[in-house]
Formats: sequence, C-alpha cells, structure tokens
Amino acid sequence: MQLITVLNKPTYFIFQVKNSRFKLSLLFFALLAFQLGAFSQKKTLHGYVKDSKTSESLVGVSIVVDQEEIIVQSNTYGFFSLNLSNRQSYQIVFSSVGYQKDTINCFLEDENKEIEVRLVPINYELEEVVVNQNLTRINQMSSHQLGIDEIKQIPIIFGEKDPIKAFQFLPGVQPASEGSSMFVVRGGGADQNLLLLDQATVYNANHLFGFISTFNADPIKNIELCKGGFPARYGGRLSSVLDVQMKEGSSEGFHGEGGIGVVSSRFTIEGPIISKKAAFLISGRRTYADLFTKLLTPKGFDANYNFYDLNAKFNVNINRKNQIFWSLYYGDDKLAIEENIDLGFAKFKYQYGMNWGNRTSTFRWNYIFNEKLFANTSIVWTKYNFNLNDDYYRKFNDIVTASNTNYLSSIEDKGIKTDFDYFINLNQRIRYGFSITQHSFNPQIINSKFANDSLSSSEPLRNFETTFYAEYESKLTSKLSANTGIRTNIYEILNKNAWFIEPRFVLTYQFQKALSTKISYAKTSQFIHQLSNTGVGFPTDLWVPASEKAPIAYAHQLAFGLNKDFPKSYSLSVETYYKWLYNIINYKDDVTFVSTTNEKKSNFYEQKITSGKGWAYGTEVLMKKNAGKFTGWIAYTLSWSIRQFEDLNYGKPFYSRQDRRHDFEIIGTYKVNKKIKLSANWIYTTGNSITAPLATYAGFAFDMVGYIYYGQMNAYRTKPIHRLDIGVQLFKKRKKIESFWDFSIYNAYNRQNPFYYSVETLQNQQQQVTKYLLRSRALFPIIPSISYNFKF
Amino acid sequence: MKKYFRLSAFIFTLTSCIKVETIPAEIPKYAAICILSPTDSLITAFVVRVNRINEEIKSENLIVKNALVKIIGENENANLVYNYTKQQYQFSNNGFVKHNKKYQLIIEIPNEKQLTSECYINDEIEIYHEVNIENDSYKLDLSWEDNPAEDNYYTVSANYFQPDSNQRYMQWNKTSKSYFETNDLVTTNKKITINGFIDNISKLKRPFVLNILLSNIEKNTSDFFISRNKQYNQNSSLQQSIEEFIVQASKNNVQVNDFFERFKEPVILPKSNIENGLGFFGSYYAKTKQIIVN
Repeated sequence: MQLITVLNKPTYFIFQVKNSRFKLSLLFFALLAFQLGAFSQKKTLHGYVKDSKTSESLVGVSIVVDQEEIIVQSNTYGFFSLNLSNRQSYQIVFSSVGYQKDTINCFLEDENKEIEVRLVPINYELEEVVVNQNLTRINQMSSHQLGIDEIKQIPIIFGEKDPIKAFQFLPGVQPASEGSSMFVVRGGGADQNLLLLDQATVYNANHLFGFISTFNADPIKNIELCKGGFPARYGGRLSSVLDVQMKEGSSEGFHGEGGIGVVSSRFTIEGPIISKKAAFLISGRRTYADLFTKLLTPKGFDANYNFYDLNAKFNVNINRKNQIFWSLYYGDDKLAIEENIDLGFAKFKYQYGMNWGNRTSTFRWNYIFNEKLFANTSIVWTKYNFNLNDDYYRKFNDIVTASNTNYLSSIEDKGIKTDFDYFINLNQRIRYGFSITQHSFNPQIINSKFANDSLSSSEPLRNFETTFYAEYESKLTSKLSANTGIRTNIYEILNKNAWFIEPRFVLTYQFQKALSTKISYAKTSQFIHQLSNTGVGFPTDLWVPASEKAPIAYAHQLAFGLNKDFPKSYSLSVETYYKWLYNIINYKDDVTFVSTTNEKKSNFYEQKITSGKGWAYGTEVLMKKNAGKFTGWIAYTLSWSIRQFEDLNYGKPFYSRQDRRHDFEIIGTYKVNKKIKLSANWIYTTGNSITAPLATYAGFAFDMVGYIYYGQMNAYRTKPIHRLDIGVQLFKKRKKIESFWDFSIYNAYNRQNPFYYSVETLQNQQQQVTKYLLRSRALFPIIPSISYNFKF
Repeated sequence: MKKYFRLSAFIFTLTSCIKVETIPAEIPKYAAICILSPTDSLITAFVVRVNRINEEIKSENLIVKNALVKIIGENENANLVYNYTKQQYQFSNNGFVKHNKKYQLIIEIPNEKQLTSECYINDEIEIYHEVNIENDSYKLDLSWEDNPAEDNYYTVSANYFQPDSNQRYMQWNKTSKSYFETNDLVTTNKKITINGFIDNISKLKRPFVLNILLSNIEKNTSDFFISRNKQYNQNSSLQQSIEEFIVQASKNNVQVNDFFERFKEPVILPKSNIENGLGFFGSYYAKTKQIIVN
C-alpha cells in the first residue's frame, strides 16, 4: 500500500491498492470467523423466528430473556442465538410488530439446542396489537419501523398504500414537495437517501413523476428507516437508509392478496414449490391511466401513460444450514404521445415518448457456520434507465423530412457482499462483512438520426466501490450498553482509490427499565451525486460519480435522545441532532440537467455544478400509542437546514430547499369493532424555501420587466402546508377470504397547498395599474378514493 | 417522570439556542441603471420604482421623473436632465467621462433615501495587429496589453461587407464564433493575443474594410449584465415547469430542446452596487480599428 496524497480533510486518504490487499482482507475475515467460533463456553439456544402461517423469517424480533434482564433481536434474516448457562431455566419472550407475543420456557442440557419459533400474526379480528416492547433498551437510535398492516391503515392520496408516504409522517422525514413520494431526512437532500430493496439499490423509486412510489406494499415484509446513529453495516449515503425487505414466499400453503383501486390494481400470490422446502412469491401492480387518457384524447392524437411493477421471490431451504433466495423487481413508467395530421397536400406525424424504470435482482445465500455464527452472501444487480425519444415525420409535395432524437441515461450496479453475524454471548455480538460493487454510469447518450451522428453522447464511466465494516454490540454494565463500529469505503475515482474511514457509535444508558438515553455519532460518505433541478424525483435526474470538481460528499451526525415506554402501550422519544455536510453539490445559476450541446466528455456535468457545505439541526418528538383500539402517533420536528456554496448566493449561507421549521403530524386509527376501522391524519408543515421573484424593475423604458430581483437563494418562504386525510375500512370475513373496502378522502377540507408559485401580471388598462402577483397553485384538491382489497 | 420532562425541555432548549442566519425581508424601493463610457456621446441614467411582488403600482409611477441625478467626477460634475420622450436622464458627454477616473452617482428622490454609487473607468488600451494570407485564408492576429490592476472583460468582433450580401463576420479560432470574449482569450505575460480568419479570401471582392470592435467592460458591470441576459423564462418555479411540462405533453406540445431548457436554475443577479437601491452603475468603453484588406 502506497500513500499518495493526504487531502485536507479528516480521514480522507488516497491510496493505491494492490491486489494483495483484497486477498489479505478476505483472509482476515475468514480467520476472524474461525477464531470467534472458538469463544463458546456456555450452551447456545439458536434458530429462526418465523411467521406461523407462511414460514417467513421475521426480522428484528425482540427476544427478552429472564424478565427483561437481557434483550436481543433476531437479525435481518430472522436468525438469533442466545448463549445461556446450561442446567438453568429461562423464560424467553418473543415479540414483533403485527404478531402475538410468544413465551417459551427453556432448560438447556449439556448440548446446544436449535429451535424454530413461530409467531402468530395478528389478523383483523384481534383486539390487541402487540408490538416491539422495550425499545428503550435496544442499541439503535434514530430508526423507525412500521408494520405493513400499520402502513395499510394510513389514508394516502389516490388510496394507494404507499410505504414511503407512510414514513413521511414520522418525525424528521418529510416529502420533497407536496404529494411527492420522494422524501428528505433531517435536512438532507432526497439523493442522500439509500433505498434498498432486498439489498439492491433502487435509484429512482418513483412512478407518475414522483407522486407514487415503486414500492407496492403487498409483497413487502419489513421496512426500516435509519436516519442517524447508523450502524456500521449501513453506508453509501449521507442522510438515511430505507431498507425494504420482500416477503420470501409461503412454504406452508398458497396465499394471495390484492386490490382494485382508482389508479391501479395489484395482485400477489405466494405458495410452496416443494412443500416446506421451496416457495415462491409473485406480485404485480399496474395502473390504468392509459385507458382514461385514450378515452379523453381527440381523433388523430394518442396519449398513453402507464406504469407497472413486478416483484418476484423464490426461496429454497436446502438444509438446516443452507438457504437460498432470489428476488427480482421490474418496474417501468411509459409515456407515449403520437399525433397524425393529414392536410391532404401534407402529412405530419409526431411521436414523443419517455420511459424509465428500475430492475433489480438479488441472489442470497444464508449459511449457518455454527450455532453462533451466521453468514449471508448476496449477489446484487440493479439498473435504472431513462429514455426520451422525439420523432418527426413530414411528407410535403412527395418530399419526406424525418428526424429522430433519442436521449438515454442509465446507471447499473453489479456487486457481491457477505455479512457475518456472530452472537458471542447474551451481552456481546459482532457483525462484520465486506462488499464490492461495480457502478456503470451512462449519464447521457444522445442519438440523432437527423444529424446522423451521436455527437452529444458522453462516455460511459465505470467505478468500483469496496466496503469493509465491523460492528460490536456489547453490554458494558447493567445500565450502559454500546454499539460501536467502523466502516471503510474505498472509492475508485479517476483511476485512484479514495479511502473513507467512518467511525460509528451508539451509547445507551438505562435509567430505569422503561427509560433510557442514547447518544450517537456517525460519519457517512457518498461517492455518487444526483444531478437534479427539480428535487422531486423527476425521471431525468442523473446519477454521476464523484470527481475532482464534485468530490466525495461526507457528513458527521451527532444525535442525542431519550426514550420512554409508558404503561398502556404508550411510548415517547425525543431526539436532537446536528449534522454537518461537506462536498455536497448544487447546480450553478442558469444550468439544467441535460442539454443537447456537444458534451462528449464523461465529466460534462462538472462545469454546471458547484460544491459546498451544509448543516442541519433540529429536535424530533414522537409520541406513539402502540396497542389497543386506538393506535397512532403524534410527531413534531423543529429543524433547520442551511447550505453554503462559494459560487451561489454571493458565498453566503442560505436555507436549503429541505428547510422546514415546523413539521407536525397526527396519525390515528380507531377500531370501532371487528368490521369497521376509522383512520385520520393531519399534517402541518412550514412552507418550503424557494427562489422566487420578489420584485422586478425596468432596465429601460420599453423593458418594464427587465430585471428580476430574487433577493437571495431560497429567500421566499411558501405558504404552510396543512391537510387532513380521512379513511374508513370495512372488513368482511368469509370462510377463506378476508376482504375490506377502503374509502378515503385526501385533503378533506380542500386546502390549497402550494405545489408551485407563478408570477402573473395584472394590468388594468383603464386605471393604468400594473401588479405582479406571486400566485400559489395547488395540485391536489380534495380527492376521494375507493379500493377493494382481499386476502386469502 | 418530572426528570424526564425536564431533560426533554433541556434538549429543546439546546436546539432553540442555535443562532440562525436570517434572510432580510426588506426590498429597496428604487433602482437605477447607468453605464458610463468615454466613447459614448451621451450619458444616460434610468431611474425606476421597484415593482414588488403583490404590490399595485400605477404605470405612470413606475418611472421616476422628478429625481435629481448627478454624476460627480474628480474635477467637474454632470447634472442629468430628464428626457420625457426617452424616459431617462441624459447628459451630453463632451469629454466628461475619462479613462482612469472615478465617478460617483447621486440620485435624490423627494422624501426618499438618497441612492449613491461609484464606478471607475478602465485604462485605455492600444490594439496591435498582424496580417497573413495562407492557403487562401486571411489571418489576423490581434493583441493588446491587459492591465493586471483592473478586472476587465473583453469582447472582440470584426465585420466587413460584400456587395452580394449583408454584413459578414470574421471567425475566431478555437471558438468558431463571430465574436471573442474573455473566457476564450489566450494570455501570455499580460499580453493578450487572439486569432481571426476569413476563409476563401480569393472568392471575396477586394479591397474591403474590416471593422474591428473591441469592448473593454469592467468585470462587475459585465457580470451584472450577463446575468441579466440569462434571466429569461425566470418567472417559472421548477415545480411550475413540471406541471407545465406534463400539461404540454398531454397536449402534444413538447419540444425536446424546450424540455431540456425549462428546468434551468434561476439566475440571481450579482449584488447591486447602488446603495439604498437596486440596479447598477458601471462602465465600459469601445475601441474601433479599421483594416483595409487588399
């Protein structure tokens, strides 16, 4: 290893890595795994926690040993391991979101024991909803988990059950703009969120220009959002990780669910391929917007828009130690417009279209080395592409003129990763692993048949990202526990490797059984940037790698919090955070994401951007009622988000687009009886900071709107956004089918929340009065929705 | 429990105590545009009322007609007079504006704060040239000395006329543009050299006159007006652009170039150098040279 340069930043070094390093690292991890295996002194109770109905493994199940003296959680794959004294009785309680609590009494003889715990899911008829308890004692902070059933109860626009939109009701998480499924976390940009679907990155999780997310709730098993205090296993983005896990497929019997809504319909089926050995899940969703647009368009004009998602997963339980999974996602949006004009002497044909979509594939192998050491190896592929085409044909006096322009951009990742999870004993646990990903960027390819060349195509870029991490979770004293870790990212940039070393820790101090305080620190880095003018998840947003002028972004986040569990399933958490962001990028004045000018170089975007710093801070409060007839939460966030760029706003700091001073949400669900459930959400958010014209003045007599005065960047604060959404769910249970009608009203009191502002000129010729109006325009008025949902 | 709420309150207090940079809400009431040049025969100043968003203004009040507009030089002053036809303040420049001099602009509007500003007229430069004809191409090397003490922005163009066509422009190497600007210049030890060419010179009717125009604009002045030129289509916010795009797409009224252009970031004008107001008081000068091409 040869040190080349030390840049003027902490823990940011550039090294040349020789091939031997990687081999050495692998050897190190293998040795570590081997040595850890020799730790064992006591006897071990280990196994999987699964859903009793489908045999799905359950993530993050709270496992309480001996009247809450010890708490551990099942890992991402449902595996757990408890190192217990032999010849001693233990009472172990397993609980999880959406499942009934299960208690087992355990007495270990002189041998390790393997068990499979099967939790019974709560169905619509149960009065009580049991969720994870003792959250105050888990060594993780700034993270949220919502059960899929919980998500499905929240009324959302168009009646679509959108997991991302459900998370936007939590403190510190806000939509990028009104109605958008893009979200911002703790003052970070929307591109600073890592969206994982079965470990594959989803680069653009938006349908319908950002109003509906690509995550269909039906095939999803578990979603966790981490917005700070990141464990070392997570990395690659500055602000948050949304980890979405698909269901594995039921090996116990065939099950299905689906729904028919106003925008789209969906259907999911799962069942065994070989009983108790192999299973599948296939899920699809499609909109029927194209049917309406076809009916509404005039003769000779054909407009067609649709989107669809396909999710599939297969799992094979080879033996007690080996299990394999293969999950796939395929989703597209298509907009196609065609117009034919026949004037007799001349014919015109005009075709315009856009399509964009994600594809992901994850092949996973779970292997149990021994009763304490669990390993998962994944081969991951993901691709996002965007295509825009513009065709023109004209026939005039038998002379044909035609042109075709095609714009394409894409990003593709291929990677392999292995994670080890070692349960040393009840008080200590180690996670460690590595990953290698090849990113292929095609920021823009433009082909023009008219010009007969592809002059504007930029060259493709390929980069490697290599990561090693280790995370150590331990109980230091009876009251103090810690999760410390280190993550090393090696980014290949300009044929050199840049190292980022990211320390992480969460310290938890337990005042009482139900009251704890936590402090966390995390350094994160991000080596890809999203070039976006809109900031709302438009499909044209480009992902590009870090470069000399767009250096690797990194952030430090410090958070401090308190958690309190109250009787009757109430819980309260208060967290305050401070986040420092460096090398974040922004467009300069007067530039757009793409242009048709000759931009052959792969780093064509560098001249359009500027890099700077930012900081965000705030306090979040979440009061939640987890069980009973009435469930829900109240969330409040007080926050600031500021940016500073040398080339923007005269070099002075300004509020970022993500700056929202107050953000308040009330979410509630009331179960009237076994057949009726009522739900409502009310939100209030301070308006966005936008760069809007504040004044105009003439440059000379005949140019009366010559100069536009914006004040500073994002100097204008839009009107606050508030809205009430209400819903009713009517349940019906037949012998084999459970169904419910879902009626909802989005924006029940028809609040005209601003989607954008426009400048309008009002001129009264008689009175000779001129007025420039900054008028807000709402996009979503009151929207009623209805859907029929079923499950068998 | 009390302890817990006290701690929560403490956390809140921690956050609330952090000082935040506030954005000034006050917008100046008046603006002025005045550009001085030793080579212009007329000094003009335009004084207007700033039309704040959501504010109703009578059209007749938009242009300020009753201001006292003065330009104070090092040795003499100029009192500009309002011209009702041109709707601007004017003064005949008979050698009043000189190179290497500072000027102060003072605008007094009754019952309002005085608007003031200062500007400097850059040093005059000498242009040198060399001519070559090679391979049926007329080549012109233009050079001049840049004053490093000044922040200058240059543009150069050269036109000529042919009997069968309108005005033609010389092409400039590297850019193939009909004009040259500072960003394209090659500087060697303060000396700036640029190369122009006219191809197929044998096909042109000679002799003709090549009119060279070099403008030396004070950098801040050029920044201000370049930004102003970029401020087209700036009335739309980005979200508005998205909606308009969707509406246009549904009406089949989308052009690819338009699609790419409509999401441009807003252009914020450089800071005004007019105290208590908006607008700009700047300077430039133009230098011409004629070369006969035989």
